[in-house]
Amino acid sequence: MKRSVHAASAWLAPFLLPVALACGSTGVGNPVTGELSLAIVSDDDEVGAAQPAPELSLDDGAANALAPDGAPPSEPLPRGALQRAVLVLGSVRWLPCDVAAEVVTQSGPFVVDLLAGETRPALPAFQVPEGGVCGFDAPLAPGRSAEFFGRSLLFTGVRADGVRFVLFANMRATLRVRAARGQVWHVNDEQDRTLFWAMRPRRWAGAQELANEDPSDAGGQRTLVIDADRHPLLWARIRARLASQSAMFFDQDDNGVLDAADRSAGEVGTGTTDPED
Amino acid sequence: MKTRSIRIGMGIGALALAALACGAQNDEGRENAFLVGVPEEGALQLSITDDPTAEALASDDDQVGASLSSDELGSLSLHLDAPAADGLARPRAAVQELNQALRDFLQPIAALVRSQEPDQVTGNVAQWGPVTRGTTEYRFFVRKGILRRFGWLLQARPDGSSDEFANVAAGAIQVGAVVRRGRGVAGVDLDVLGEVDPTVHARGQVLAAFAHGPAGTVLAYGLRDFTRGADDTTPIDAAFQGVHLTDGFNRVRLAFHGNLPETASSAKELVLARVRHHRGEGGRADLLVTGGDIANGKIWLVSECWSAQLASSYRVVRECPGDGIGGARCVEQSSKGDPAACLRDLAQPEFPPADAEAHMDDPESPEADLAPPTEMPSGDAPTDG
Repeated sequence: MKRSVHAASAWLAPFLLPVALACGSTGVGNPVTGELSLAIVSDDDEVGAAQPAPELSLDDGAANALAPDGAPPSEPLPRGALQRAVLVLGSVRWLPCDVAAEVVTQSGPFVVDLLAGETRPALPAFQVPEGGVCGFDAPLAPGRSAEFFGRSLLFTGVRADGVRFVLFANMRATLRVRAARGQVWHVNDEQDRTLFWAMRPRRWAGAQELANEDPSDAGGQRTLVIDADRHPLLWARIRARLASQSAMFFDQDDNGVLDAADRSAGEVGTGTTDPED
Repeated sequence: MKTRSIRIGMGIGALALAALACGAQNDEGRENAFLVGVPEEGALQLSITDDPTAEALASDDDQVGASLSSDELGSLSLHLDAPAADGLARPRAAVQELNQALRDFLQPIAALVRSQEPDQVTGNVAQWGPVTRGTTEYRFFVRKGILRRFGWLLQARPDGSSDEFANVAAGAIQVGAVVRRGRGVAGVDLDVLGEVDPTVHARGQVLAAFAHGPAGTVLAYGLRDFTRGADDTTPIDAAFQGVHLTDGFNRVRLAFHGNLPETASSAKELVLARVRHHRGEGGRADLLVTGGDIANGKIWLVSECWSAQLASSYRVVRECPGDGIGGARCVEQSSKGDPAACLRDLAQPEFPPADAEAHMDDPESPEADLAPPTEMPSGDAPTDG
């Protein structure tokens, strides 16, 4: 009797194995897929200016009439001019290419310190829906930690003339990143993959744009404090560039570093910023 | 219909407020013992119509303790489509500027203490920080006295500096039935704060006394050389006062610079305002206006009433000799609407004192009259009262 059971098991094994594998997957009928991770990095190498925006100095009325399109500045900030570039993301919402599939939401807030190269807490890897993902939305949100409580963006540095610039505010916007036309971000079989979101804070403001603005005195130090009321055009441009001056790359060599191998495979996505005033 | 929905909203708002108070009371056992005496925006803010946007009122992000919202009340006026009466809009802007200046020092405090245990407790003194926010390093102390008395002190210095921390704000409170509410004083030196935190634009000093009781809140502020920012070249020295009753009756007294529309040019006049408002019913402003386009020795009196929807229902402007604001020598400059449109209990004018810094009695104050401190509080816990 025992022997006959063993024999039956052996005979059924080829049929039962796929069933067992299917039951271990994410959902009924879904194949096993690997996980996708997002690493948000500062991209300091690819600073160019293909289509620079005209660097105008406009009064408030004109600034309100102009909607910055996120074009890069004609002259990005020089290396070393930046001191801090930190974003607080309220969440990252991954958009399946199959619109009927459920959006994957990673809830924050996530504090992304671009120059320090860290995201706190780290964005968790997630299982990619069948059909892949075609982009994500990442709204800025006020931080909860003592350092960033009530603020979503810190952008500081020093102008060429030695004047400090500071943007520390609760900027409201949603950064929208989409897969390049015709592409799908997917993960094959059980192989985990990493997407780099390469942000370029040196392009958030142009050297001349900063030089055009009048600083004030604070603590005996000349300081340009960028806020929506006093510098509406510069504010709007910085906001528009957060996502539009970023790019997506796959970690082709799986080494966790955005490098030439990843760049040579080309950008796999682009971004836009949607203001939420 | 709109009025009815507003009243329903008010009912919900009142329930929310009651729930807020009960929640705050019940949270005491779960909170760090020092948090009971920490100042927060909701305890010190001035308000007229309880509109959180127009008056920069406290939101969840301003709460020191459990997350509680004032949005329910704010929704009362969010859907009003008519422009607010001029006699209300300008005082509300002054209220917004004051509340925002208070937030300049209260937000760093909330950031330091919310959901954070003190970094150090020595005897009866708790310390949070230092923590760098933007380009400024902050630290905050609470000193616990006897019988629910607390003192507090906020210090700051530029990030990376080896200078001593500067005192930027301080206060004291004897806590009543609800945490962070009671009787006390607070002060912020915006000149010092602005020196160490470049994102703070207001200047001057704001000194405040407050009392929260079951019937409502009484506030008294002394503003010294107060400006809202570098582009504001007309500092104000004035007494601001507020009485907020739990049944929805707000009375404030303010001073600000602004252009009176009936004058010849856009030059800014000095406006001393007494504003009374019944939530969901309407209100009235009585203004004394001098300077700007108004001839020396003259004073203009403006009275304006508004409806539940905050639209102007009556406005009259008179020019009077400076030595007699109510007499027959006053000459009417303009008049719109019908004085009968004013709420019955707001039919009579109630002008503020002609001296912007003089105290204005409020016989209906539920917590008696308060006067702001004459100098910055030390940060020690009060020992009497």
